[in-house]
Parts: sequence; C-alpha cells; structure tokens
Amino acid sequence: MEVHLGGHLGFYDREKRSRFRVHLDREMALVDLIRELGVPEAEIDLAAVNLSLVSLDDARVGDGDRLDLYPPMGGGA
Amino acid sequence: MSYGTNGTILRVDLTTGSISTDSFDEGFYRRYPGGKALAAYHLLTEFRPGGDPLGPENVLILAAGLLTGAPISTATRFNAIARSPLTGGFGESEAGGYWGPELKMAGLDAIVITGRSPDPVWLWVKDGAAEVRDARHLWGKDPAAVQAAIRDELDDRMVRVLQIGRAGEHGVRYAMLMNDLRHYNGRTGMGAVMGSKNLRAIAVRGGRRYTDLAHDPATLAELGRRLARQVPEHAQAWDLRTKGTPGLTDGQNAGGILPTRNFRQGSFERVDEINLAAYLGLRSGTRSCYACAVRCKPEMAFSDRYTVSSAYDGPEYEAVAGFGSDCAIGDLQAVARANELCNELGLDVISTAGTIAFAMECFEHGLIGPGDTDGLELRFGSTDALLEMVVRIGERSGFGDLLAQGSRRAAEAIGGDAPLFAMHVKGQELPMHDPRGKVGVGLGYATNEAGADHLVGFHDPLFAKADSVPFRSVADLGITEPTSVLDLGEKKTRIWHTSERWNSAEKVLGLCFFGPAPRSMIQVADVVTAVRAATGWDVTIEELLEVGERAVNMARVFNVREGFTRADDRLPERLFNPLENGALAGTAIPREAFEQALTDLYLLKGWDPVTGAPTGERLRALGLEWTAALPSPGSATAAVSGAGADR
Repeated sequence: MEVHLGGHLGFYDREKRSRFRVHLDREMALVDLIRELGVPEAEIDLAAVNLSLVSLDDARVGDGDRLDLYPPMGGGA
Repeated sequence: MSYGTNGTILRVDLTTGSISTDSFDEGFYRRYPGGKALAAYHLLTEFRPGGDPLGPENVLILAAGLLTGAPISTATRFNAIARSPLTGGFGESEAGGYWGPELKMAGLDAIVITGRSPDPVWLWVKDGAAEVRDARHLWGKDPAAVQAAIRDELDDRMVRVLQIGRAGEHGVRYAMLMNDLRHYNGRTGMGAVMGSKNLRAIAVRGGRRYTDLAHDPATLAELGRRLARQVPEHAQAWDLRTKGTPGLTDGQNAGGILPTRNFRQGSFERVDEINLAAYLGLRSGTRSCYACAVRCKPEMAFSDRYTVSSAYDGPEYEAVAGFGSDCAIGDLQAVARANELCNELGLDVISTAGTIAFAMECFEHGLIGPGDTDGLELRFGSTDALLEMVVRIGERSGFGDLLAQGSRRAAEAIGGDAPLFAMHVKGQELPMHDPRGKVGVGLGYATNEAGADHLVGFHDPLFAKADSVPFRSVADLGITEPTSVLDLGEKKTRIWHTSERWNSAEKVLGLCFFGPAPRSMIQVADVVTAVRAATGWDVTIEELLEVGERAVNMARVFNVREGFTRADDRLPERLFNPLENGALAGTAIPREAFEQALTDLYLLKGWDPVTGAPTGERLRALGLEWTAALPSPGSATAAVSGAGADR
C-alpha cells in the first residue's frame, strides 16, 4: 500500500521517508500499522484512507489502500 | 550596558534631517525589553493621536528584540511598528534574517523615524552613528539593484540593507519591508509608511558582538552550543528544513481548511498541482537566518512556463495557498512567479492574494466587469489575470490602484454585496488558515490589534492531544488540559490567553515562532535561561508572560485611542456560514458561542467586555497607568488629513 507521512511524521521513519510503499499480507487495524511504522500515535492529528478522513480508533487498512497521516498543524510563514 | 541591550535608540527626523540618540535605564528595559514592547512604547508616547498613517507625523519604529543577535537559533527577529495605513490602528510586522542582529551589533536597540524627507533618501547606520544619503538614483529601482548599489557605494558586501520596493514608494497600503531581499516584514503596510517618508532603505553595519552586551556570555554561549546540536535533530526542524512551510498544504486540504476560492471552500480540486510534491519539484535549496540551525528559508529558481530567479525568497505556505487555492490557481509555477513579483515590488503576499481573491469573486458575481478591470477577465483560476493584477497593484495602475487600497476599501467603493466578499479583520486580509477548523485562530484574528494574523497564539491542533510533543512542551506555561479544535469554551479561552501572552513575549524577545514551545525545538526553560544569561535579571516564566501581555495592552490602548471598540473585533461574515466542500463541509463558526468566547477572553485579559478596552485596574497591574495621561484624539491640536486617517 501507499503511505504518506505528512509534516514532521516522516522524521519517525527509520529512513526519514515521507512517501513509500509497504506490503500488507492481510487487512489490519490502522493503529497496528502505525505502531509498526514507528510513528507516535500522539503526533497524528489526521488520518485519511483513500483520501477520506478516518478515526484512528476503528479504521482498518489493506494492501491496495492509500494512507495519508498528518501531524497537528500550526501556522505558516 | 550588560543586560542584553545597548541602552540606546537612534532618532531620525527626515523633515529636518536631524539625527540623535536617546538612552534609557535598566528599569525601563525590564518593562519594555525590546521588539514589540520597546516599539509600542515609542509609538504610544510619540505619535499624535489621529495622525495620518501616510503623513510625516507617523512614527515608524524598527526595534530589535531583547535576544536578537544572541548566538542561539531563532533569535533573529525585529519589529516594524507604526500606525497602519491598512487598518488605521496599531501596525506591526516582524522579520528575521540578518538586519535585526546587525542593528544590535551597531550599538542600537531601535530606530525611531519621523517626518518626511523632501527628496528620496536612504539611511546609513554604522556603529551607532548615522547619516542621511541621497536616494534619488535608487527610487523606482528593483530591490536587488538597490541593494547592490548601496553595497557598491559603501564598498562592503556585508552591509545589511532593509528597504521598500516600488509598492512602498507608491503608497500601496499593504506594502512591505524586506532585508537581504529574502526576509519580509509583510503585514500592515509598514512599507507604505516608510515610502511616505521618502525613505527607500536603511543600511546597517556594526562591529559589536552580542556576547559584549550579555550579563553572562559564557552561559549564553553554552546554551547556544547545546541548541545548535539539539535543534537540527528535532522533528520539527527536520520538517521545516526538508519540506518547509508548504508542507502544510496537503494536510490543510485533507482537513478541509485549505482556503479555496476566497474562503468559500476548504478543499481544492487541483491541490496536487500546488502541493508539497509539486513544491519540492521546484525548490532549489534552503537558506538560514542569523545563527539559526533550522535553515527553513526556501530558495527557488526555474525557467519553464514562467521564470523565477533565486534573488528573492521562494514561496512559503501563505503564498502557495493565497495565490494557489484561494485564487483557484492550480499551477505552482504561476504561484511562484506571483510570489516573486510581490517581492520585486515590495508587496505583502497575504494581503495581495486576499485582495485579488476578493476581486475575483466580485468579478464572478458581476459586481465588476472588464470595463472596471482594464479588460482583464479577473476570474478564479486565471493565471494571466492574477500575474497582471499583482503588477498593477504594485504600480497602482488602472484597477490596481483600487485594489492597492486593500479589500475593505475596495469593497466599499464597489458597493453592493462586495463587503461580504472582503475577507478581512480591521481592514487586514486573512492569512491562509480557516478558523472554521481551528476556532482559537479565529479568536486571534478577531482580537488582534493589527487585524487578522495567524501568529497571535497557538493554533488549536497543537493543544488538542495530551501526549503530543507540542502539548507537553507548554506545560511550563500552565497549559495542562487539552481541548478540541472546535471548542469555544472556557478551556479554549484560557489556553488562547496564555498562548497570546507567550507569542507576544517572543515578539518582545526577538524569537521566531518556529523555535520555542509549542514547536518546542527550544523549551520554555531554555528561553528563561537565555533571558537570565543575557540580562542578569532573575526573571520567571510569569514575568515573561507579563512582558508579552504588557505589549498587547499597549497595542490595545493605541487602538482605543484611535477609536477602535469591541465592534472592530469582528470576523468576516462568511466564517459564520458553512464551508462548501471538503472534510468540514457544512461547518461554520457558531456565532453565539464565538461572541461568548470573546466576552470570556476580554474578562480573562482584564478588558471591558462591552468596549473591548483595558480596565484601569489591569493597566495598573501591568505598570501601564501612565497611558491614561496620554493625549486623546480630541485633545490633539493639528488637523487630521489624508485618506488613511479615516478611523
């Protein structure tokens, strides 16, 4: 599946990647995937699966999905 | 001096050409240590109430922060403050770069400029001395040419040049200042004020070091070394360095708060053409401000459908959303060119984009037509019209002359429903953050003395989750309970009040908002350590918050004196109506809850909830009782003149 770690969330990827693909053998809870990716759940403000916002509590993802995660966003310059 | 300041300000009267310095004691600096507080003091005490913002009577103050120039990341900022020609109230804008630190190295904490030169001039400031020089040959030139000419004249490549562009010369009400061509005091029209004085540039050079001014230079240097190691390793610094502020675009769109088509919508169907991936395809590098390890300033150069050079700063998020989604332009190259035109002309990107988006909506509703716009089809999505309009605003030619007045005045002139499309507070256009998805930002837009601004307090998502890094970093400020982004209750107003005091303190200290908590590359305790080392004062967090609050109250007193009331603390009507699309489609700010939150906020601030004015009790508690003895507009003797003095 396609994974996009928005803002500073890419910092938590071991290779500091913001866009990459992962292979999922089976459908799984989004929170479990997030733990496997090493992204602190507390740093996630928005999660979207296939461009629709989802709740971290009950969302599930599969291999064909696209996942976008965003941190809390402050002001720009 | 050994408390982080030079103890000296420079006064320049451009009418007479007189130049002098003035000194203040340590007790004064402890109350008004620098930046916003120092400048607000001089504006309040030296500006005649009711004076024309574009007249010689306006007082333009450029003030470095207490820590500006200290060898620590993000301690780079200075403030430009005067009566705003855009809002008629307290005008203020900050910038980083190198000019503020250089001012401190030149032995000065601030420059106070009054009067109007009969001919164009520039000011040369070196090691505390100054002279006025002829700028007739520089007037009308591009900023890059002006900076090069001044450096050639002085035969010094390291001179730091603060200047206006042609928009400032022409009196565009949202003209900006720039230093080193890359750092911008964008907001509230400080460039128009400087231009009205026939002052094109201020070049500064100094031989001091900040550690010469510090009480405890060893501690300060050690803190600076520790932060230089820590900051680059922080997730937020990584984000700003590798992506920059345009990293916000995708998330704002996903969250339904990316201003689109003049804030009618929160999601842009062509976001992929202006988003971070598109941006990184054009960005050619990053640069830094003085002594800052974050290195977030974008450099952009390309030659394709449009050509953009690396002479100026590349677009930040505000430009991407302002010229992109808010004008429905799905072409990042055109956005970058519009941004570059603003820099060449010396225009504030946010107000320029907001005013053009307003005009596009007027055009689409038939309130104006090609006969008004010199033949331009000023529709959403038209890149040609966008780029041409930026130039005409900067040059004040044709329809651009009306838009150069800002959206509020343009709406009044156009009439009909046009005022409903003008997205401003107190006359200043909204930044690219929709308060329908973060209502605390709306409290800031409404109450800020300088009009709509997104850097008044912490954005709501930063204090919505108890375990998040930003939230944990503000525990030292007394913020211990999170609350939702849409909450308008007591928790929200308390957090907002604290965050406003803290952000204001940063404006006094000269720190960039991207450094300290809640961004948290620099902890609250580090800021206290820095101030103690710089000054030798036994300051506490509460004293720093009070310094920030004092500066806010001085700005509010200024506005009250100019006739502002609670009625001016008002959001655009559109924000009380639902977003048309995106993740927050159908969401509006609840009007009654918002008004109640304003009342709660005034009471927390010690302000009269009916008038919005600080109470005498609060002013006394902040040591501002002296402001009651200042002259009011009614007691001013000189007549008010000019279109700017219309409040």
